[in-house]
Amino acid sequence: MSEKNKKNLFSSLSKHMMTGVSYMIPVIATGGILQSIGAMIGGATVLDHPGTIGYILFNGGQAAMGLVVPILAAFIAFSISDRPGIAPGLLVGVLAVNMKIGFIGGIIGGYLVGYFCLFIKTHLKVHDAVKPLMPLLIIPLLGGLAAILLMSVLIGPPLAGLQGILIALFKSMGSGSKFLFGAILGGLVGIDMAGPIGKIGTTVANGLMADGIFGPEGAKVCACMVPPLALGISSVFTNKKKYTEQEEVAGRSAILLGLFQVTEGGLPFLLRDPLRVIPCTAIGAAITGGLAMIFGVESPVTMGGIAAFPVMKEVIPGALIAITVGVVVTVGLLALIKKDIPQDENAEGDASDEELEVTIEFK
Amino acid sequence: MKIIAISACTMGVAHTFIAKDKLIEASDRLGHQIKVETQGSVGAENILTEEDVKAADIVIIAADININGEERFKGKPIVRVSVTVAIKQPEQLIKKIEEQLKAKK
Repeated sequence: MSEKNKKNLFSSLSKHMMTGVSYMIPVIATGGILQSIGAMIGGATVLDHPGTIGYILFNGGQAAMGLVVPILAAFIAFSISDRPGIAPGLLVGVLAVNMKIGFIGGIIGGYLVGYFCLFIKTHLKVHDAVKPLMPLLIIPLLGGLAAILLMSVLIGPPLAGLQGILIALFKSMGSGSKFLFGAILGGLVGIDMAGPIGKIGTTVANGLMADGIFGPEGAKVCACMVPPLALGISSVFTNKKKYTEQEEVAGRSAILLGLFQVTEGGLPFLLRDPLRVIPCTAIGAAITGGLAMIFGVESPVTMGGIAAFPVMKEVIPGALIAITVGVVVTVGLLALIKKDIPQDENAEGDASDEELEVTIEFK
Repeated sequence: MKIIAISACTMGVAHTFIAKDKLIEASDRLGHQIKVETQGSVGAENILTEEDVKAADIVIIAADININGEERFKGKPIVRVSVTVAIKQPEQLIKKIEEQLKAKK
């Protein structure tokens, strides 16, 4: 593969991802904030009171959050193969959610299904009489079949298995020192913004909470707030130059989402620059998780962020210190590690003299 | 030269519209006519009509994501660039297009 082809492949892969992200962001905002408002109104036991306003909002928000991965997968596939990719893409995303392999499963699935549909679209030659059926029936059907096979055979089990191994490892660590436990929990959350890796940690915390142990859940609530808060503060206030204008816009909503513990608010940053963002958020969230355990922060609810504070233990000063330290560390690391983005300030003429390669496609 | 363009960025709230302004500025300075359709997160605005497409000499697609309605430009010469190029080097972009179109004729 030549250098140029490699560059083209990379830029088209990222174009598909960004198309998916652009459709996903409003879904995260809808679900995350409604869920938080529900938790704020309904308090700790919101899910035990069906029919109350808090319950209805929380439940609805949760349903919207369930759409995040399917929408991401569907629009990655849509970007690759156009409309016929949507149905199989949605399916692959829903299956990823069902198998609890969330974001990573949905992204891999979305790409594979998208390219599969594109392949059929361009390579399967059919009689003219059957042609109208291609986008309506044949591609979605074959694509759906591919989605099911992919998720239940090819990528689902290995990813789920990997997760199972990690959960077992994590549980065996539970008896270790409190700081280490909290730090691992937080670090997992910080690695993929409560994606499948983070879910390993949150699943254990949620499980322990069901057994009446509220410490890990407290650490989780605090740690989950750190990545979006820190990325938001870094992009909007402290290190504007290191982010694109689009990220600065995402940063404002990330701060709000972070306050309400919607970790996914950090995803736009992670997806654009994973190698630099992940170490920062993982370390910051790990410190918060560890500190929260030491301070004895406890939470009887899984979601909410500041909305959960009223029902949590040791919020002042424990949780506040833990979160602040984690955010400050993350923002500091981002300042060190992220690179500046060249800015364009001049209004007249071009901002860059760099030689531009322009190719016109004549058809 | 009659230019039509589409701009679309990931978030669809900032860059899309900066690109539109920069393209219009550059086109005005160089004495061309331009119409830019923005496909932001509010949906498509300033939509290119069939007449616009028919009259256009060149289609500029300045997008970081896949755009809607590309089939409208079938048979038209198309240039694809990232939103960043439209923001940073709109003049050079338009000049190069002009050169290449002339060379073609």
